[in-house]
Parts: sequence; C-alpha cells; structure tokens
Amino acid sequence: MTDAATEFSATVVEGDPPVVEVVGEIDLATAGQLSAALEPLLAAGDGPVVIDVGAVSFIDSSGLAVLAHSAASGRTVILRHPSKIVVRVIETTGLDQVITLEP
Amino acid sequence: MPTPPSRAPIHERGAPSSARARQRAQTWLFTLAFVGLVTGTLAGAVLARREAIDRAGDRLEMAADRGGVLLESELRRDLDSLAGAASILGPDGQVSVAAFERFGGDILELGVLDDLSLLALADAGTAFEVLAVLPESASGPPLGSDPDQHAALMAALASDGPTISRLPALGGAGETTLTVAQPVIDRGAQGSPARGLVVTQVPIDRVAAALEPAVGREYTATLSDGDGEILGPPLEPDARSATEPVTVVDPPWVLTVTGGPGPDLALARSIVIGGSIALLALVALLTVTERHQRRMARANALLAIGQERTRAVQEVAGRLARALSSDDVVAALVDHLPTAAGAASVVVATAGEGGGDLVLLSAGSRPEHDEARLPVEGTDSIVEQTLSNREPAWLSSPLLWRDDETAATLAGGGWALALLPLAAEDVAGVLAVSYPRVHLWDDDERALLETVGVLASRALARGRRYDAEHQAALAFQHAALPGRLPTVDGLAIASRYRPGAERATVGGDWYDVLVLDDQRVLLVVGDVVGHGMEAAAAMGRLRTAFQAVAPLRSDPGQLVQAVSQQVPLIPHAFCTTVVCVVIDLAASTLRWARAGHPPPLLLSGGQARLLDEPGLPPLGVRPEAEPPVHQVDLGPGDVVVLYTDGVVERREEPLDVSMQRLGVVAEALADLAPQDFSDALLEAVVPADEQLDDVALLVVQVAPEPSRPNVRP
Repeated sequence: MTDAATEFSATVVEGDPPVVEVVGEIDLATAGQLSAALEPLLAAGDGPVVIDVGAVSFIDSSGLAVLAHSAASGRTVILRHPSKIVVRVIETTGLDQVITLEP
Repeated sequence: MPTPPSRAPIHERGAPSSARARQRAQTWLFTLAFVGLVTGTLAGAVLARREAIDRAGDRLEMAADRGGVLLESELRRDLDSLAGAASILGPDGQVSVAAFERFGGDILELGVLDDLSLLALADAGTAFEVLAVLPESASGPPLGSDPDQHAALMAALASDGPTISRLPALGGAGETTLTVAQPVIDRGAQGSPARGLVVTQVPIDRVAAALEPAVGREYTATLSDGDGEILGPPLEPDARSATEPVTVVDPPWVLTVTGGPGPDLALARSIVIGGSIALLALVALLTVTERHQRRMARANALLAIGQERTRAVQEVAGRLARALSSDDVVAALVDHLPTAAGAASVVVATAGEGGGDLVLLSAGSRPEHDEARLPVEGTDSIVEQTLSNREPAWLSSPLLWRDDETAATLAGGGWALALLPLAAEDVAGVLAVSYPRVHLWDDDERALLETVGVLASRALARGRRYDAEHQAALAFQHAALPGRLPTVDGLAIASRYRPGAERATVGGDWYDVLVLDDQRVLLVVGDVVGHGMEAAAAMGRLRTAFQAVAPLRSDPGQLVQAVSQQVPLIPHAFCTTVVCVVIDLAASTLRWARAGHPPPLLLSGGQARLLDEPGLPPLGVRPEAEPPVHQVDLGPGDVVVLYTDGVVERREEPLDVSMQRLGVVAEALADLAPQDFSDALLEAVVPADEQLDDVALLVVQVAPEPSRPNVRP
C-alpha cells in the first residue's frame, strides 16, 4: 500500500469520445476503481475507449488485466500520454498489439 | 479648580428711566451675572472632572489590558509564578479525576501543565488530592493540608462561582498568593454532583503590578478584606480617600486609594474604580475565562497541530479501509493513530479463539510467534468491563487504573488511557490509546476515537477472514507447485517461490518442469493476475492444462495457443502471463514462446542476453493467435533464467531498466551453480524485506561439456 495509492482517481470527462482521466498508480488496490470507471463506457456505444494515463506513474498486472479486458471486448482501447514506465510494460507484455498508444 | 472669568455686561440703554426701573434692571443684571458666574464655575468643574475621569478611564483600560497581558504571559511563560491544581471529591468521598473540564482542560491544551511533576493522593476527607501542579519545585504538603486552606477550598467547593482568597502558595514557599478556586463538575460521572476545583494562584506582588498603572503614582492603594489588608500599607482614610468594593469576591474586598494632588474625592473615586476594574480584569482572567482560554487554545495549540491531525485521521481511515490482513489493520493503527490522536502509543489486543486472555497484536506478528498474552477474565479490570459492556473508558490519569495491572500494561508508561471496544463479527478486544500526559477528551476527540474504534473493529473482522483465506491459499499453492522437480540428465535445475512479504500476499505465480521425451524438456513459468485463493486455484488449473496438452503439442507456440483457448473456461485465468521454453538437448537448442510474460534471460559464456523477441499479449486476449516461436543455440554451461514480474517490477523505474539490471546481476553470479545462483540472484534483486509481490524463479543450466556425453547425437 503506497501513499500514492491514496491519491488514485479515475474520472470520466464527457466528450466525443469520452476520456477517462487516470491519476496515480494502477495496481491491485486501485484497478477496481479503473474498472468501475470504464464499465459504463464499455456498456454504451462501440467507439474507441480513450484513457488518459499522463498522470499514471505505474501500472501492474492487475491494471493491465483491466485494459486487456476492455480490448478483448472488441473495443479499440487508446492510451493517451503514457509515461515511459507505462509504455515499457505495455510493450513487454505484448499488449501493444491490442492497445493503441498515443504519445 | 480654575474658574472662568465672569463679567456681567452692563447696559446703559437710554436715560429717562425711573430710579426703580434702574434698580430693577440692576437687580436683574446682578442676578444674571451671578447665575453666569455659578454656571461657569460649575461647567468648568464638570469639564475638569470629565477630563480627569477620562484620563483615569484611559489608565484603567490600560491597566485592565496590562492585567490581562500580565496574566497571559504568566500562563504562557512565567510558569514559576503560576500553580494550577484540580481535584474531584465524589459524593461517596471517593476521589476521582475528570476534573480539568473547564479551565483546567484549557490550561492543559495550552500546554501550561505540560510538565506535570506532582501526582499525589491525599485522604479526600482531610486534604485535597492534587493531580497536577506546576512548576516542578512546587512540591510539599498537599493542597488543603493547612486548616485555613482546607476551609477555604471546602467553601469554594460549596459555592457556584469562583472564590478568591489569600492562601500560601502551593509548594510551601511561604509566599502569599491570590488564589482563585473554580468549582467544576465531574463530567465523567453522569448526573453525579461530584465536584472538584481548579485552583490557580498568583503571587500578591503580581496583583500589585496589575493595579499600579490604574492607580498612578500620586495615589496609594490598599486592598483589604474583612480580616485586614491584602495589599498595600494600612491607611487612615481622610477627605481625599475613596473606597470601592471589588464585588467579584464574596464577601467583597475593598480597594482604597488616597493621596493625589488635591482634595478631590470624585477623582479619587474614579481612580479607585479604575483600580478595581483592573483587579476585576485580572480576576476575570483567572476565573470566567472559559471562552477566552478556548480561543487561546484553539489559536495556539489546535491550529498548529490541527492540520496535521486532520491529515493523520484521514490517513488512519484510509489505511483501515485498504487494509487486507490483520497485520495491515494493526500497522495502520499503531503507526498512524498516535499522530491523529495526539497520543503516545497505541496497542491493539484481541481475544483469541474461545475468548479468555487478550493477545497483544503488533504489526508483523505471525501466529506461530510467541504472543504476549494479557489475562483479563476474572481480573475485575477496567479492560474486562470494556470488553463486556462494549463501552469506551476514558481514563484521564493513572489514578483511575490504580491496582489494575491489566490496564497498566495497556497504558505502558502513559499518563492517560482511552480504552475503545473492538467488537465486530467474532472480533472482541480493545484498542488502547495512551497519552504522555494527563488528558481530557473533548466531545470531538471522543467521537473521533470511537469512530476509529468502529472502523478498526470492522477492518479486523475483515482482516481475519483475509488471514484465514490467505493461510488456505498459501497451503493450496504450496500443494499446487511441483513438490520435486524431475531429474534430467545433462541439466541442473533450481526453482524458488516466495510469497509477497509485505502483506504476505499469495499470488498466482507458478513454475513447472515437464519431461517431453528423452531429449526434450518443457519449462513453464506463469503468473495469474490477482492474489488469494482464486488466483491460486486458477494457477492450479492452468498448470494442469499445460501438463495435459504438453504430450500432444510439444511446440511452445502451439502449446501456449492451446491453453489460451482453454482460458475462457477457467475462472480468473484471463490475462495470465506465461512463458514456455523447450530445451532440446540433442539439437542444443532452446525454443520459446511467450504471452505477456517478461522475457527469459540467457547466460551464455558469462554474457547475459534478454530473449525479448516479440510474443503475444497475455492468455485470453488474442485466443485466435498462435504466438511466434523463437530459437537460440544452447551451449554447454549456458543458463536459462525464467522468472515472474515480481522479480523485475519496480514502481519507480521502467521495466527495461529493471530487466537490464537483472542481466548485470546474473552475469556477476554466472559462476554459481543453479541452487546458489537462485538464492543470490533473488537476494540481490528482490531483498526479502522489500519484496511486495510474490516471485517465482526457475533456473536451468546445461551441464558443462564433459558430463553429458550421452545426449550428444
């Protein structure tokens, strides 16, 4: 449990398409919050799911599973402004094959 | 007193008037002149008096201010001249403590009684219990041991408002003080008429110092009560003297001033009024100062620590909400509640299974460790009461846990102790918060601590369920991992599994070694997302799936795809990462495929190489795809290192940096055989005390040339 985990937030910013803005570390403790924020977007519409991870410093396998789940549901998942740490994890796990990275 | 010049104007208006008329006019004029003279004189006198009274008013305001400033600085800095004490006499003659309810509580908040030096118990019938006294030197006979002092304090106890008397200073310094005794109600005992006193003493010369600016140098002041002078020389009142009762005291004191430049009784009276108001101000500061003191307390103490406390409270609540295991809960309370509560330390104690003794919990304790036990049942301790009635106990001073060893143990060396019941589901225990000083809890503090107690109870109940599940998952995982690895001619194999240390998490990491035929060996390392029983169960089924498919499809890519297609049928298996390696001893090759898993590391000729050729995303994400298979040559002595992300995952650095470091460390350890290599590698890259996630490691070394002639084609 890191201090940063207490500052986690995942907020849906309405727009076309809506963007989920995530702040903090996505890990076992916070992945559920991200999943909950994505759920209504996955349920409604079929456009791309855009997640702004510019303020995400770390993502672990629990967070990757949430992203992979969204991608496996057939939707285009776009990660905006990923940090180097996030990019390396996505690439190493091969998830860049199903998730679009937008610098 | 100056008199304005008075001139009667004389009017000569025309000549022809009779003598009577002139006489009448003259009479009028004289009358007018006289009236003018008198009026002018009176007006001048009134003006002069008003000026003098204004001046006196200024002086008395200044004096009142100075009295206030003087005393505040007494309270804050000049502790040597201030003594505060409190006692409670119960209706049954018992002595109890909750005394610093009003003034005393504020003093405590101000920090004036920070350095308690005397906590004495005297017979309540003959003397007063002194709970807190400043300064340290103020030891000596207990308050009230002197008969006059005792009588005065008993009178104070019987009155509704503050009483003021002259008493020797506490500590027997012989100095006479102005002693204000403020009766307080014992809030601790509901509906109880038990009362106590907050006693505040100020040396007489401080009173004189407060009076001086109001009286001025021209006048001499004497303060007396029915028995004689309190302050100043005995006076022979004369025409210039004025007296004024100081009515805040009952019976009233009398302040007399005399002297001054002239026989003006009115001015003397205004001066004496000023003096008595200055005295009133001083006395008021000592007595009716609850609001004033609260303001000071808020401003000086609470503001300074308030923000820190608020943050700390949020921290405690947040950590309790996120706590998984009992250890997490205890750590949240022990590490963060003291700051939030302004307390010295926190102890969590819960009854074990079947009740009985309390077990003292501390963060990091493990069930197998020896635990500190605290006997409770039948002790008649306050702790036992808290456990049975589930009501908090607020113990303001050690006097309240006299002869109560159980409570004393929980208090440690503390001077005040809050016992909060822990009760939820099968959790029964107490949360003990101890303080470095005698302490009173205001309503906000009580509400805060009681709330923390409720949160902690729930968190502990949840933590117990987690602990139980964790133990089961740990056992299950232990059973699900290979008990003994197969022996393969030409290969030395070592494996390690370590559950996460910080929260003792059980993950879904696994490894397996399967002999495909006499030349080929399959190595599998995988990682199921999440923790606990579900992850362990998914891991068991995936491992079985690989075992089932391996005899049919010995190509690592086909193997991964076949299992990936099974993933929808296995709960919690989605997004599992896996790497499959087939070592062909006959062909001296290594073929591998991976899905979402960090790349294997190959040590060849002392050089580390990450086999980071692309793979597929984790299992289930692209079930239709077959992962690409890559191949490298394998030489004698080469080492293959497979691992899970717990080995390389760092929150503060990119994964490639961690993996590079793993390579560097592996090169440095290249001379070690697999068993020693495994231990040294883990110790170097994931020290046990820093390990958050669980880790699995599989190290396979091809035997050096001479020892494997039989696998050469």
